[in-house]
Amino acid sequence: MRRASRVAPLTVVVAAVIAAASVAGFYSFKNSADQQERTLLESETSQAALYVGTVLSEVGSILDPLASVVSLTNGSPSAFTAHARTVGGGLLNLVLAERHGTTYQVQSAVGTRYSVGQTLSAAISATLARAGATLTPAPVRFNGKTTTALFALGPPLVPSGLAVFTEFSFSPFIATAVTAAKPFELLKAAVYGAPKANEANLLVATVPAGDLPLHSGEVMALSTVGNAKWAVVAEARSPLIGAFARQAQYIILGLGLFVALLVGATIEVLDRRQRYAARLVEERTADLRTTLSDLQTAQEALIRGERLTALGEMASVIGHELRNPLAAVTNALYLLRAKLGDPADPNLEKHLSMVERETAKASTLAEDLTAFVRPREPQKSAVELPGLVTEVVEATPAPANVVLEVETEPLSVQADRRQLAEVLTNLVANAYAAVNGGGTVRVATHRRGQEVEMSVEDTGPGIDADLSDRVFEPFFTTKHDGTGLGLAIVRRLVEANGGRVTLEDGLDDHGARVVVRLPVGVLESS
Amino acid sequence: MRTDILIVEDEPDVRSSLADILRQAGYQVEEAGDGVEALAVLATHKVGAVLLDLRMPRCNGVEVVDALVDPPPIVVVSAHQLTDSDRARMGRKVVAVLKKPVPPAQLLDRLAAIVELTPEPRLPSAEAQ
Repeated sequence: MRRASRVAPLTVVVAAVIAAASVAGFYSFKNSADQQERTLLESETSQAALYVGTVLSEVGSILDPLASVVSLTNGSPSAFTAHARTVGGGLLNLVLAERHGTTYQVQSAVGTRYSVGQTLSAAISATLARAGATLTPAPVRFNGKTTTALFALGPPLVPSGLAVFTEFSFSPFIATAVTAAKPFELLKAAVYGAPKANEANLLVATVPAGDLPLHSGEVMALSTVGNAKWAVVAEARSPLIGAFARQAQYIILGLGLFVALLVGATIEVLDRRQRYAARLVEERTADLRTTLSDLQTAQEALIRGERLTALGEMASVIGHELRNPLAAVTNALYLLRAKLGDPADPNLEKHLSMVERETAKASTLAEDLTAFVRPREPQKSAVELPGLVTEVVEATPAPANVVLEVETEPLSVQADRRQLAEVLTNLVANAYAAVNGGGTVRVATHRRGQEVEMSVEDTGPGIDADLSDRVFEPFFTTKHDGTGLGLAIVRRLVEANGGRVTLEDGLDDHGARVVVRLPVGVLESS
Repeated sequence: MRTDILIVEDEPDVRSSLADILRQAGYQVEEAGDGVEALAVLATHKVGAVLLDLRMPRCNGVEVVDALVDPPPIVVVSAHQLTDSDRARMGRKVVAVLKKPVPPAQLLDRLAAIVELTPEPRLPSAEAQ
């Protein structure tokens, strides 16, 4: 039985569909989660930017009172210095500068960085030139270690040609109360003192220097600081939508693939069972067909056998019933012969011998009819063929003009000796009759594989090939005076002994050859 | 009474023609139409041999053989073949089985041998009783 090992197409299709659905679910859920995550991040970042703006704008509240003092004192450096000391406590750099051409010159300063009379750089001068009533920051400068921020106010808060500014430096990576508090606690964020996220403008960061610049999924928002826009860049420290929501897509994918595997396996098992059942049904059907055909053959044989049996019974009854009249006629003929002499008067002799002849023929017919009854159960024993052949040809001598050839091998068969002798006698008598005008009859026994062939052939006229089967039918005869029962009896006896009999071409390509084939006897060697 | 041969046969033509042949050959012959008649003859006659048919209306041949304790030689002449069980049942009481129609010459040959076997002295002494 062939074992099919390939996976059923249905299994593949269903598993593929479920797997595809789970992959689609994975991406759909991932997109939705990504989008939600981004929306939340944007919202948090905007909030952070607003917060940064608010905090830095506080610088304005330091500079505003100083500007008022400068305005009221019409630019008195001493008044500025006196007031600046009270504001910054000497920690902040607070400067009053006056324009001289394109650059500004320090008029008054507190803190350590600037001194009176110092000419300010072109970059600071440019910022001071732009400064007005609104807090004006200079671009933040980060030198890799510390960052420096500068905020200025100018006219009309101070007299024309003057400006006040504050400058302070610090490390952008040191956590402060501001960067540790909400919204920064959820974010990795960096604030740049410029509208773009350039490292040179870094103001403050909530991550170590090595983590900058931020990439994966960062969001930028602009924070309003005075009259400038500064960039706030942030990414989430951990998923803002929650760890479960972030992992849900993988759970969906995993579950989907698992279900695909499970359903596929179930379908495959069911399919294999069904295929197995179908194959079983096929095999059983083939068995049944064979059995049916065997039964038909057996039934045909039985019908043929029963027909022959019925025919045999009838023939036998007729044969028996003929015997009594024939006995009376035979007796009467004997008495007549005794009375009339042998030979009798020539006029009577002709008729008398005809009656004797025909009575003898009728007796033979009665004999054949009786014999056609179903043969008794064979009583098998080892029959030595040479002995049997000798016995039969001696009991059935060849007519004067017939040459008899006997050719036997020392073989034996398991058969009923009397029945086999009857078969051979019948065949030999037939052969003699066939070569009535003179010829040769050969009786031979040979071994052919597991069979023994016992053949009787003659040089007679032979029998047409198309009649070779019919000659074994009861009452079929090619002889003028035959009963048509001889070969039928032969076949019944041979078959009863487990053999078969066929008619073939005889000697010299004509004549007839009847071959009886029997299984080799088990006692052959002895 | 002494009889050489008893013919037991239900067919009158067969019986009478056979009786004629045997009488012509010199035998003392008695005829019986069935087994019952045959037993009656055997009870009253000393018989040399019996020609016995098997199938008869009243008391068939096998039953006749069964009924006889020490019968004379019996030759069965029948249209029917003896079954093995019949053969066993009748045993040695039957000296020959011949198939109908028996050629009369052949029958006479067989009878000559059988009836001769009957001890000659017994017959006269039986007749004397």
